[in-house]
Amino acid sequence: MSILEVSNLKKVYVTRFGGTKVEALTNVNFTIEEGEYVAIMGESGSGKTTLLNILAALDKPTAGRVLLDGQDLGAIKDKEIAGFRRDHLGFVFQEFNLLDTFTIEDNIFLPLVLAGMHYKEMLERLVPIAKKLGIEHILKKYPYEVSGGQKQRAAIARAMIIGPKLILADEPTGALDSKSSDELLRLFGEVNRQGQTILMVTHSVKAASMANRVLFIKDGEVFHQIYRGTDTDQQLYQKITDTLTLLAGGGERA
Amino acid sequence: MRVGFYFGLAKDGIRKNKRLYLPYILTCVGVVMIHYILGFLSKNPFLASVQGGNFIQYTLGMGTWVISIFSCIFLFYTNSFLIRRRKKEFGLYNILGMGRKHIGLILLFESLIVAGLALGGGLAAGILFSKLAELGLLNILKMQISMDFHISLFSVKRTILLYLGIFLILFLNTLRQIRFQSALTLLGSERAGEKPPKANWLLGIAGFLLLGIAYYAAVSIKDPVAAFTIFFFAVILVILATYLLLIAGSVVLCRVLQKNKKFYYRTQNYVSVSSMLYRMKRNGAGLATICILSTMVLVILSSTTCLYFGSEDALSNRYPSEVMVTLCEDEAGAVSDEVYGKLDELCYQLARDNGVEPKQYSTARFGYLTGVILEDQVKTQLEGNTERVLGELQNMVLVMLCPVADYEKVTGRHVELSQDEVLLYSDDIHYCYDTIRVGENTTFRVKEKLDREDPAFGEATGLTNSSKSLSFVSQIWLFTSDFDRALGDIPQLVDDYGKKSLTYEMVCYFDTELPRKEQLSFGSRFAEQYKEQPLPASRYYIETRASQYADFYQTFGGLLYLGIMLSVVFILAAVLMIYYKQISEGYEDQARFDIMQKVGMTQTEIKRSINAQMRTVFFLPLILAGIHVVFAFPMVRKLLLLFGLNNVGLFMTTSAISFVVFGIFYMVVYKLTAGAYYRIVSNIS
Repeated sequence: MSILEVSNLKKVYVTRFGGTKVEALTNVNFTIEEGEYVAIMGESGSGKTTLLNILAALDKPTAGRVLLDGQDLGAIKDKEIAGFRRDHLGFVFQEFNLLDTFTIEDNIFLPLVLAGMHYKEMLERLVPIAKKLGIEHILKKYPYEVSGGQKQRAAIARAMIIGPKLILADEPTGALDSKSSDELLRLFGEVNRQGQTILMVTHSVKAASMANRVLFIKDGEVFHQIYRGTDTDQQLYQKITDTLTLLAGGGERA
Repeated sequence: MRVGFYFGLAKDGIRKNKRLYLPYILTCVGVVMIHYILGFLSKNPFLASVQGGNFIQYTLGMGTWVISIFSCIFLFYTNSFLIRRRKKEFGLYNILGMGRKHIGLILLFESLIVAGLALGGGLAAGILFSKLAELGLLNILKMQISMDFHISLFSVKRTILLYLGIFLILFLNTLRQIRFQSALTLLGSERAGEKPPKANWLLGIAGFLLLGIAYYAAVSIKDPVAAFTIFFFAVILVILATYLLLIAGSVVLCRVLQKNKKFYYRTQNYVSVSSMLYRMKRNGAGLATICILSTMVLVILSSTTCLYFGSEDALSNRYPSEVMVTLCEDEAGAVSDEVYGKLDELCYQLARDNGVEPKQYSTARFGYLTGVILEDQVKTQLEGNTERVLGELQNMVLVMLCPVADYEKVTGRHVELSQDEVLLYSDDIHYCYDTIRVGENTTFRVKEKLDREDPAFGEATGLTNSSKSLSFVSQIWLFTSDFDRALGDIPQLVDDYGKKSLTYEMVCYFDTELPRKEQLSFGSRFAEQYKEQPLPASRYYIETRASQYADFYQTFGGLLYLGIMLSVVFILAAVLMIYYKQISEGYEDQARFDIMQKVGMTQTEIKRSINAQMRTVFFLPLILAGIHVVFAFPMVRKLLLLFGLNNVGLFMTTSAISFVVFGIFYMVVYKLTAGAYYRIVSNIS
């Protein structure tokens, strides 16, 4: 069964002065099956961020539909949207978005506390996740005291602790050095193998080459997609590079 | 180097940050204006020419100094806030290739522009409103007004020098801050990672203790003289305690709440408690300052309005009778029955000659000395033992020696007293000894202690109830058998300065029940006629209540006026600090607001949480100020006694009104500044 179904998605921005219309998404269609690990690639201005914002229910499409776990995002009332997002989606951001006023532990608890869970239950959920992500020893520290890689792992823990249907990752390696990036991608792969569906938006070929499937967006449309099939990371990497070269050359659809 | 270019940059810098600079400049204008006006009034020749003007001008001159010192501290604080906000901009200039020298130049121009606007605007407004201020003052003082208009060059010069000096120091301080930091630190200074506040239990508890001590001191004070000495001590304690409590105590409290897992991990507390922790760390000092400013405004306003509206009261307390004729003597022999009788007759006659039937007519004669009572002894000399003086001031007594014959005459009672026996009356002190020693060698046996409520006593001594309750020095009355001889060596007693302690007085009091104006003319006619046929006396005074009226209004009116002026300045300062606090919180919350939304909080949840925090942070100073005022009440009341005011009801009313008015004003400021806050927060999300 597909977790996410995006059909005929269109988004038009009207500039504040003059009323010029800018089409960020023209017509986007794709589906994501449960347990998939999908990367979306595209250049700056291709509409990636707009797409992600719509998927996260932070923004509304001009036309088209997004079904998350069979539920139409457009049909959810404004009041319930935050709660829905909290219960079904996990977010990992490029800038980590940890609150500096909380310890790492409290940051991870945040969605659970908002959902009104008891402290004991929260702790039971935290322990296995923290262990898996290797952050048990920094739980009592504050964000400013730990490295970027550790912050991002904490952010993943925060995304995972509610047991979301889908994790949305926006350039998760963007602010990390290569060693931390590798570590993070390895974790993503591992989490995915255990059944977690992940949708990652990225610039990095290396990050994308770890996914099962890569979608390419250009000028507001899904331009192309590559399935891993039986390819190794290395082979997928090569295919992605080729596609990007083609895209940059403005060539025909492969 | 193109100077105009840098001037342009400076101008732009201010214009682009007008959200920060406009309130700053307006406050500067306000402070400069009030400084000019106070200086103007303190040297105003017309004011100098009116009766009692000297005192008012002295008070206003003191006020000018208070404002000078205050604006120095306050502008320093706000300027450092401005610079913190703008460091990023300077870092950018630096990276774009501008040297420190050039940035210094921009800063110089900015300072010049701000100083120019503040001084220009402030002086213009000051000169414009100075006449209004003068009329206001004269109206408060109930004095005649003059219509001429002039500008005080003295005040202009003083204002310009003072504020140029302050702006110069501010400029140098900014330069120093910019100079020692690299471009990158400047760029990132707004986002520098912040350590979580540590709970400092020691300071938190110290804050509570100090506040407790100060409150206890204020509440337990018995007499006004001690209140005067303790007041400053208590004020300093309260200021210290407020800073400690709001900076350290609040963090401690948040930490304790965090330790309680059940409470902490609840949706409505979770975000609030941990954000409050940071908010208090950053704002503790600011909030404490706002709290202290509010307290000062409240105390100043409530006490000065109370004095002003109670001046009628204070006047009749200080002068229980409308007319008072006093003959002073240094020798006991002069206080003869003959002269005493003549005084009685003469005053009565003179009053009637002037068409007045004297009411509440009474006479009294006594010798009095001041000393310190220690157990059963009254000492006139403290022997320079200064450490004990403070404690002994509270034991100050006025010893009144009175012939028992006068008591007998009034009461019709016959009292048999031997030479070393006295009747004793004490008003405040509960005197429990059987003997009383005055000086070193003269001891009396107390034959009888008189009832405080005995109406005949009031008649015998001319002491009315009002003056009894007013006196902040306790009184002990001793009725002796023989006024001349029974006093032993008391007439030879001297005080620490070698001055003779005992003075004799014969007094005649009465009311005329005339309106104030006629009372005044009656008084002068009475005095004229008395002068033609004076009784033998070393000194004499004729005082009417009406003639003191202007004095009282001038004293209290001057204080009220200064109180209002100072309050305006303090309020201006408090408002600006509140505004800056809101703005800086807005910028800090902007990012946090965004993250919370992404992590799954609804807009309403965030708004509710932020509202709750804002309200707590905002009203904390007001509430604390209210508590301060409540505890200061008994002490300030005692201080008002020193001014002759003993109207608790009036003081309660003025306190309550001051608090309500200030509270409403505070609320309005909250509404206005909260708007600025929300505009900033919602910019990004």
